[in-house]
Amino acid sequence: MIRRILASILLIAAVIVMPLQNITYADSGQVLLVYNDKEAMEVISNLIKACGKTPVPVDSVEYSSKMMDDYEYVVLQDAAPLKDALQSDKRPLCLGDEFKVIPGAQVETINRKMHAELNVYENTQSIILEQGFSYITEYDGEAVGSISFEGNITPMGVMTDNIMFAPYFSKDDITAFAVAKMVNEYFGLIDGGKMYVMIDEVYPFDDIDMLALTADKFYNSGIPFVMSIMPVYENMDYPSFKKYTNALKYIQSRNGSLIMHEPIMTGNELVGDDIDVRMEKAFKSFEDDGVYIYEETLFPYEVSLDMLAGVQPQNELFISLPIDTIIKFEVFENEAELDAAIETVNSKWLQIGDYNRNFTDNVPVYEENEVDTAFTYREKGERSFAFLVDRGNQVLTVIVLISGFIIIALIVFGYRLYRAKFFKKGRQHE
Amino acid sequence: MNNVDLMGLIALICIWALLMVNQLLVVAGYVYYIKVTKSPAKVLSRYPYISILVPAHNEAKVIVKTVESLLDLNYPSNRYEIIVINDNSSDNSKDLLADVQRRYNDRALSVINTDKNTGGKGKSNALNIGYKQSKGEYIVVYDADNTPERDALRYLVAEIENDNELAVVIGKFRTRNRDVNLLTRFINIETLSFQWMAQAGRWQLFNLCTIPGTNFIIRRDVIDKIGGWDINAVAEDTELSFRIYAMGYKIKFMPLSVTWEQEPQTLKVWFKQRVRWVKGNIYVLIKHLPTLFSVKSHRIKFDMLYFLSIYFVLLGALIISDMLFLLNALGLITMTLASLSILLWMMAIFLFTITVFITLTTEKGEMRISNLFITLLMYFTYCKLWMVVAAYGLVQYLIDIVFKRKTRWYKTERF
Repeated sequence: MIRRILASILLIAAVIVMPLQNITYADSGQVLLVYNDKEAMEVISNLIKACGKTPVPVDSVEYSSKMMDDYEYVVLQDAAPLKDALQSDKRPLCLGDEFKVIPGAQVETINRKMHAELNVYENTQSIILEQGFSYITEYDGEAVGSISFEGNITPMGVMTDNIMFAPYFSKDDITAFAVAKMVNEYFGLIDGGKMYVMIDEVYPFDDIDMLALTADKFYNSGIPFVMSIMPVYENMDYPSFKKYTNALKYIQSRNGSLIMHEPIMTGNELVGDDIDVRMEKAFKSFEDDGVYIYEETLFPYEVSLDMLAGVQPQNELFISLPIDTIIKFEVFENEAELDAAIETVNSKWLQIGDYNRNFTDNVPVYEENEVDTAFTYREKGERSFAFLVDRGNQVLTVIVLISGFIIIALIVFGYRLYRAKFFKKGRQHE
Repeated sequence: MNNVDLMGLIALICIWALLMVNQLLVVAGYVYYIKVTKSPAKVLSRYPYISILVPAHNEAKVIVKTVESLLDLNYPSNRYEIIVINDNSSDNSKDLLADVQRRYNDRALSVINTDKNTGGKGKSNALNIGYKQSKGEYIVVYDADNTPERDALRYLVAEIENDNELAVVIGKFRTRNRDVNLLTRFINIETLSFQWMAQAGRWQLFNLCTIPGTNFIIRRDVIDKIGGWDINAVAEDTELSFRIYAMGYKIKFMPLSVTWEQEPQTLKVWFKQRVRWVKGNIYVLIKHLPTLFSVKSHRIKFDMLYFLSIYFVLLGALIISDMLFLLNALGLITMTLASLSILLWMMAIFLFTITVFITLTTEKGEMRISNLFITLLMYFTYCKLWMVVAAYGLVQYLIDIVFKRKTRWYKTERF
């Protein structure tokens, strides 16, 4: 018997211990990102995502040394974990001016505003450096990009075998490209990316004629484009939904790529199906109507037209990019807005990529779905006496809660009375 | 906003207002129950002579047991008489009663046998016949299927003897066959909660009660003044209550006086009995409606409003809201009335369940988890059936009026 118990204990212990022995990193696709500035964290996160990895942002106040063991890649915007990272041989990527002392590089700051010329990846850009701007004075290893100001030429970033470091980066200039290059190097990726144009957050209640016109104009201008479609969870049997899917099918036939926007959580998801089930339903409904929408698996780095306006290609006609980038537009409200956007894209000599080509070489042919024109809509959303009922709802909820508490208190009291009256030893009534 | 929405809104307000009133009555009723439980029993300084009237029509299955339990009451046997009005029975009740008389020939037990010429006009008429022969200072009424607890009469007498403002003291009835099936379990909970706790609440808050058909004591002089029972009233108890209010008397509830009676065991019998109650109560309401605006007694006004709100307002509101919901779902009407949150409705159902449950703590063996689930089930089944009964009773009453049909007194079938 004792042997059996011992054997069982050993077996259980073995089962418990076995997974522990196999632990390496939680997921090599995940990147630990320790930050103390949320805005900087978002820029870095987007760069990491554009390289196909998943950032795991951790506020520096929540950071603990143990976390270092779980990740292969560590990006720091906060300086505190640097020691841990170096000790665990992580070759951390350190970004920003938080790093006053860093192995293999000397950093100084400027004491007044000054003009500077940025140069990275065959692109140049002029910017104004603010007072306090940090720059590298001495370094080991490989330099990435350069910043020229008042006779100084300093690298945007440096890469050694033990550490990667860029004291300055901004989403508003090409220093982000230098960081992108370093991120590529960090993840072992080859430089080079495509630029996409996207019309973001397309809803069923947008003007479908305007959507079709957008597709026509981009198509006729030779600009491939992406539309980010908001998921739809209900009323898919309505004729208006059929009209919407017809419009999307038309957009597809004009070389438009459709991707599903991530769901926006409103708090009402507590009631009804789980969000995964809803998303599956949304994909299926579109597919049933012949609309093929990609899941959002690529996350190109967003750049603005304003930023691109200041970028000059050094030797080539087009701007070169180390990673995939995307220019986003909101749904155009009128033709003038649409024309202005196309004019800007064309005037920049931007080389726009075809998102579809990442998945297929086919362009669907447009076939219109039949729309039930006899369908009668129930006016949704109209709620008469809404104020009265909503206020009544609040008042009644309070009353019901108070009543509930009173009754529960009476039940507790009643239970004691019940026990005392009917079950007290030697005193049974009835 | 349209008229349908307005109707829906009014219905909603009525339903919630009456739910709150019922809530208040239950809490007050429970307070009264605690008061009665903790107060010492009243002592009788004398034993007034009592006449117990038992109207019976084809009650052979139960009458012997009832009479024997009445003969066994904890009250001096020479201070009360039992008068059984065997009203136009076609079964062997007469022989059975004669046999009981023979066995208890030393007791004041009278049996009045009537036929279709001398009786057969319903319970009120039978009570009037029995009353004429009675000699008691107080009259007590028991239905033919009752088994009163031994102290039931003593509690009633003690209360009425101690307060001259009381014309009537009522006890309560319990369900003897409560464990037979789900229907009798529902009825058991219904009697404890909706009848007795509501009665106790009305007494506690407004000194108001309505006489049930059984287990009550009434002063002889009060019956003399009101001229006996109204033979046209099918719900003779409610009718009597209203006339007593009009005289300025009070009717008190004494929950310690208990009688056990048999309740319907099949839906058909239950339905017929409850339709009779509904029709009877509507008759009384219509009869006394003019007095709502003229009568001196505030009690009758309040009780009239209470019954009107239950039988017409609540019923009407429930039917209207259900009909609107159904018609809207079928697309026959367009309703845009904003709705109360699902959470609130769920909380209301929970409140209903625990409110009913609290009333069950007043009786031994009723505070059970199974009763909690039965109560929840009751909300979705029995309460809906009551709506059907009330609606059907109202329609039947109107048909009787239109075709000048006389409402027949339906005797509840015994099992």
